[in-house]
Amino acid sequence: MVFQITLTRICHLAAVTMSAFILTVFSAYADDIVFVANKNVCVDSLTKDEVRKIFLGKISMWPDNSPIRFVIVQQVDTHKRFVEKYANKTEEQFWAWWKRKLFTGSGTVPIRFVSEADVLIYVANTPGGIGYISSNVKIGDNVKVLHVSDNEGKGTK
Amino acid sequence: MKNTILLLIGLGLLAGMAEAGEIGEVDIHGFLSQGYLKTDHNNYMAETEDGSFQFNELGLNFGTRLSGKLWLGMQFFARDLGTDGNDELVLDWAVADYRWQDFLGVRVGKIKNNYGYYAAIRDVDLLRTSVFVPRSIYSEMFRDATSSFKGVSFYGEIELGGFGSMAYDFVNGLPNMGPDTGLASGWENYWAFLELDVTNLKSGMSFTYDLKWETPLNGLMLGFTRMWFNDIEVDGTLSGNLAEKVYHITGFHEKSDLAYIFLTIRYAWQGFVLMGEFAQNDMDRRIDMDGFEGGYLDADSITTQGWYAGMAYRFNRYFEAEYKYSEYYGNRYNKDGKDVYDNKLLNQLLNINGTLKSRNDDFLAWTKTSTFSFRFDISEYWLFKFEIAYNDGFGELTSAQTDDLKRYWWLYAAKVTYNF
Repeated sequence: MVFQITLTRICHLAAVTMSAFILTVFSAYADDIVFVANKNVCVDSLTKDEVRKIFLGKISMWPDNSPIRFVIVQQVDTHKRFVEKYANKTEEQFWAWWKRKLFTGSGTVPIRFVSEADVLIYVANTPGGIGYISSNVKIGDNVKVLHVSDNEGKGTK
Repeated sequence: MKNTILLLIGLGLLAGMAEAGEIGEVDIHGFLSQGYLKTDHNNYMAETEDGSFQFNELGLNFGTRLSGKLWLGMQFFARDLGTDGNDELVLDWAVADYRWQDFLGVRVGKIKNNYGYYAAIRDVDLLRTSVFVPRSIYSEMFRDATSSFKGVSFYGEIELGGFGSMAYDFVNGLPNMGPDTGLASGWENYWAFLELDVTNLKSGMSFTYDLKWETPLNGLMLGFTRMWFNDIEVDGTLSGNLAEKVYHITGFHEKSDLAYIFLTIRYAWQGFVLMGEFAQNDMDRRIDMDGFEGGYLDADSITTQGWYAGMAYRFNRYFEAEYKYSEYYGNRYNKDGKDVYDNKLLNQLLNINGTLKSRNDDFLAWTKTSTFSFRFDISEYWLFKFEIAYNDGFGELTSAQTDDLKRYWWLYAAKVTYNF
């Protein structure tokens, strides 16, 4: 009897844990960032470190030496998740970085779009274009989705 | 007037090129700030004992990309800080920037001088937590001269495999020096007992070599800068009782070489930033005075030294606070101010015991400062800052000193900034 109750409890606990895990995975996916690039971009995947360097202007060219044209989305949640997860900065530090470049004669601030739909249009029509959107935005086949790996080593470029 | 015409010509050229389709869109950005300074004792940079609004900055920035690798930009700047700046519009920087590869780019034109952590952003209030950059490292008197060079710079970032990356910026050119710059005021203050009036101030080719290493530890940056100013020439006239009637000297000529070293450490983790810098400046001088018996003074070199350490924390998107402690010494070999005036030969020949000794103010040898800064980001465009600094000593040369200096003094600063 005691054994039966314990087994029931363990099964219940496992079910709850599994449900929580599935929900967590689903939520993470639903909230995740997707990187989209112009079809002519010569890479299919990037590392997180390469993403950080592209959006901080440290890498300015694709491996085939064509210029990288990246854009920022102003949509608050998406941008906040992007800077924290991929740029390793707070929003304020991210913009301070770019304004430092702007006002000290070492660069221009990135192009910003209000909507994620505009990011998709820009990337689709701009050679070398790359941007990020929320994973719940529908993506057409006129852009390519880049896989981003966690490893700090070489990507597939 | 000359600079206003320059601004109009620059804008006209950019607008014309844009209209002709030779360049892409011209980005226009800018900032405007108005501050207030108050001290309980001692005038610092302005007449601050009575409170002063002579503390403002304005910047207007234009940039356009000609191709994926070539970019043009310029910034006009005006500031007022007591007797310095006086809102005169100057060309802050103007560059053609060709980034051949990520590891090598070249800039030509008037290039912003990138030494230490704060030098490049000292004119841009919105890029830091504090109102003033650390005065122990970044002298207000040398601000105009060290701000930018006319010349060429080579820059880039080199991947070091598992050892992070190294950014470099090597600037070579002529610094901004002249009798109307803050540096001339500093010279005049240094030789105030002979009532020096600087009529000429210029420099030869100068160099800034800056390295910033992003270490494998995420957020940790180490920096190293070496900066040289070669063949600085200062000419001026001497007047007053001491110069004319006692020593019978009327003209002043100095040739100097300046060499700086800066060390930087900065660690950012989430909302925290830990920071520290050290700087040393060695100055070799040779001084001639018209009418002076013996020809010239092969003056002793002067070595200044300063450092600071601090921490900043951003509580949320609206509020950030920072604390810094700094120390500055006008002569690293006379940190306690007990020694006589640092130019021993001058003491001997002119029988001057020097400004330090004669005024019996040992505290002119150092400045030790604790600074609390508070930054409020009202919106993306508006910013308000407030700063309280408690000072021990008055080792810095400024353009608005008083005779009756006090050792302990408070400096309060507030500033509102708008940027777009």
